[in-house]
Amino acid sequence: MRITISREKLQESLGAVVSSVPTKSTLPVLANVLLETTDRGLRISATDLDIAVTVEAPADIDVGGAITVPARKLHEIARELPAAPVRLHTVGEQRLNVECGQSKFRLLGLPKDEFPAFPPVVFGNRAAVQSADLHRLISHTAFAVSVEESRPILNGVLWEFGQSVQRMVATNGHRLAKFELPFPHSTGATEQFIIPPKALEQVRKLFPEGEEVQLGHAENHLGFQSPVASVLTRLIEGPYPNYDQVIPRDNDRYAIVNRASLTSALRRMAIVASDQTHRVRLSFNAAILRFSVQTPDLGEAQDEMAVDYNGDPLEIGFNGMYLLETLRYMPTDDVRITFKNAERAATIEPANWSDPAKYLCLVMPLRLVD
Amino acid sequence: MPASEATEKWERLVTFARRRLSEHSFHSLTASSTPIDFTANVLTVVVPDHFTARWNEEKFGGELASYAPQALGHPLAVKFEVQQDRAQRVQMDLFVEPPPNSNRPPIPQQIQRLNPRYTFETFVVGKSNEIASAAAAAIAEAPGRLYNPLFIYGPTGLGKTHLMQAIGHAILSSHNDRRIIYIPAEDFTNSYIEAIQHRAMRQFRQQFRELDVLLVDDVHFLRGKESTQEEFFHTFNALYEAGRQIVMTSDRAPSEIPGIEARLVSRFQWGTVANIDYPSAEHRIAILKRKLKTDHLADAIPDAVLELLGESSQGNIRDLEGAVVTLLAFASLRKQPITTALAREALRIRGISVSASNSSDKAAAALSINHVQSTVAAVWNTTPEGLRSKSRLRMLTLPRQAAMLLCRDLLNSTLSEIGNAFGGRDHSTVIHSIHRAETEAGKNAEFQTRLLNARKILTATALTISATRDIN
Repeated sequence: MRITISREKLQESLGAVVSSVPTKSTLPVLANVLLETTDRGLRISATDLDIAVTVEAPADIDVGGAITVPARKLHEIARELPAAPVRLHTVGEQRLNVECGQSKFRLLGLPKDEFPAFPPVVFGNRAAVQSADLHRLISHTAFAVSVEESRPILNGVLWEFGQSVQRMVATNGHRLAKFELPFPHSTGATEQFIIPPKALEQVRKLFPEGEEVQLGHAENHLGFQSPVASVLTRLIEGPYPNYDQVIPRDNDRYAIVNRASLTSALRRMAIVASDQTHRVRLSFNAAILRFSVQTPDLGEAQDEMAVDYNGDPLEIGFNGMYLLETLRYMPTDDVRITFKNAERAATIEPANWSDPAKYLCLVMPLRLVD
Repeated sequence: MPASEATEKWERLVTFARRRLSEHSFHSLTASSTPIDFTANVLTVVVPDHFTARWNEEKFGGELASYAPQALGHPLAVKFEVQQDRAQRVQMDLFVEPPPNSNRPPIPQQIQRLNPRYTFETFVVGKSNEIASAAAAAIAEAPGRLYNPLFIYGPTGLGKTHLMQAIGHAILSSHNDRRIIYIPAEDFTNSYIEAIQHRAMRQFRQQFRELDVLLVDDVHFLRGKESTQEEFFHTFNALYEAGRQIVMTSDRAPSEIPGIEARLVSRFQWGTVANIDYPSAEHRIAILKRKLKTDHLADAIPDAVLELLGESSQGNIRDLEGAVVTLLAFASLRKQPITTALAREALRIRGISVSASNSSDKAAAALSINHVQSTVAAVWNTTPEGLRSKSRLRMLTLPRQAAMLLCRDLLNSTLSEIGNAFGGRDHSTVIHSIHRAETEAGKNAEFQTRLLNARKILTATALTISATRDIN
């Protein structure tokens, strides 16, 4: 392999994949990136066995070939090189020479065959999705996934295609986020993928808004592809729990609350709330929402704000962090919160939102009694 | 039965299954499952939520059972259940059904242990208890808000328990679904020990940490019981954090209870600390009247007798109530009308001394311990200094005991007052001395003569003094 590439392109491409390189692995080759030549230039790949990320950068190719070299080292080198074309050429199967201006490096690598192969995924025979839609779906839901090891299925985000809609759902059992967008290309048959949030993070990084993203599905892998990048991820084996069943339909009390005021009050309460439970007590009564926090060993706090509340007076406890996270992603100035009672899920939705999308979050209360 | 056996069976089973399941299935099965029990060839495995339980059961239940004969050498069924404590956790879960008792049945009366007599209606508010009773009334209105915790302290028999239980009754009368328990600290300790012995800590904690109102009487009984204090500390925190009301009583202020950990003491002081003191004579009379009314005896005792009763005791309401019971018993047994004379007798039986007449009541106030000491010293040919000294010569101890007896009889002095006036002696020493004096009077004629003599002189002195005062 003998190629010439601009320093900026090399650094940018390495930067895009380097975060997929595992910091610790029993397989030494995973610390490397795979460099391969293609018709259009240089392809750089990294993987941690669950997720594989590939980007392509334009390059002048004299001789085609491939090699793997330590990802972080090559990235650092690219960052420190002077602004001049970089020449890469391999010596044998395991050595890469990097030259740029007067700077010369020789890196020891591993043969390309040691780099793990991913199952082939065929792109192009499914409807493409817009990267802007992906961004919206991911950013409104992925925060809610579980990190509890004993709930492996909830460790992923559900991506579901239904009758003319696509939606993402994530939950850790305590709160749930569901974001839905129209998807006219949908065939009608329901399809579900459970995707590790790390893969979605890569998707968000590698596909800027305004691109068409092709999808490819093979057995238990899902691929996302644009002309210059691709993300291939192992799927979490389902099925996903029936989230629809836990969305309350009979919540008969509701409040319209200003998001910014609610957020600042909760942030104040959070300072004194328990580190373990983050418990904040909310009491709704007529047009007043009162907050209170009592934490042994620390102290207490109270606050209140005006709200538009309909229903019998209600006292309910929440993990303040869950409420704050949910509010952070709400797209409107006011939010609509509904309740049944202090033991049932509350729903939070954007109020007066004129958008084809639908957004719904659930938060389960904290028992006020231990 | 033991969990270790369950773990061993499970390990062997999944090791065998590993080669037959996909890596992913294997991971999701083992990551979510914890074996907890093996009984009668049923291996019970707990998982985080209902969804996983159903899924694992469907997907792996049959398959694992089919491996059992090969992997373990015997058949076995695998049962997936939701981990029990999940349903109890403070943070409720979308995929875990709430515990069946979540509609919270009220606590049965025998566990509540509220005495139906102890209500606000039967509690008489006076100067000595007005702060405590105001706080109690506010709590009954809105438990867990203003005064939490409430700590009531004061000497025994002044109505701490009454006030505390009144809070419980008042809350129950407006919200009969509230979970309230009244428990003396000693019983809390015993239940705790029992729970440890029977390995029933979960039920114990459930019982106390799911309350709306916890009333703990005589917390000073926790002194020196470290692990009970520890448990009480956590119970306290759980309730407090959840905004549940806690009311405690003790015979002294939180900081003065010996043998209680500092962190617990500081919690006792977080809310309101209210003192109940000895009631005044008028207050005592009002209490007596209220009590008689409750017992439908409003007119049974003449006012003069009530006044005597109210003025004579040192203030302990329980003694006062006891005196009334004794008086009523006397009257009914002897078929006599209730008079001041009869009341005096009843009081004497109860160990409460009353001076001979109303005028001498006034006189008693005129006398001091000094009078008694100098009179007794004169009668026994010794000195008041000798009586006040620490010396234990018989020629001093006998008159000292006599003087103490007279102080109690004529002056209504408290035991500690007497102790202080006689060389800083302990109240138990005073009790002993008075007892000795009484015994001595029974068998020693000379002692009895001198004692009578001293009593006469003192009564005369008292009358003279009060007469002089009246003239002035």
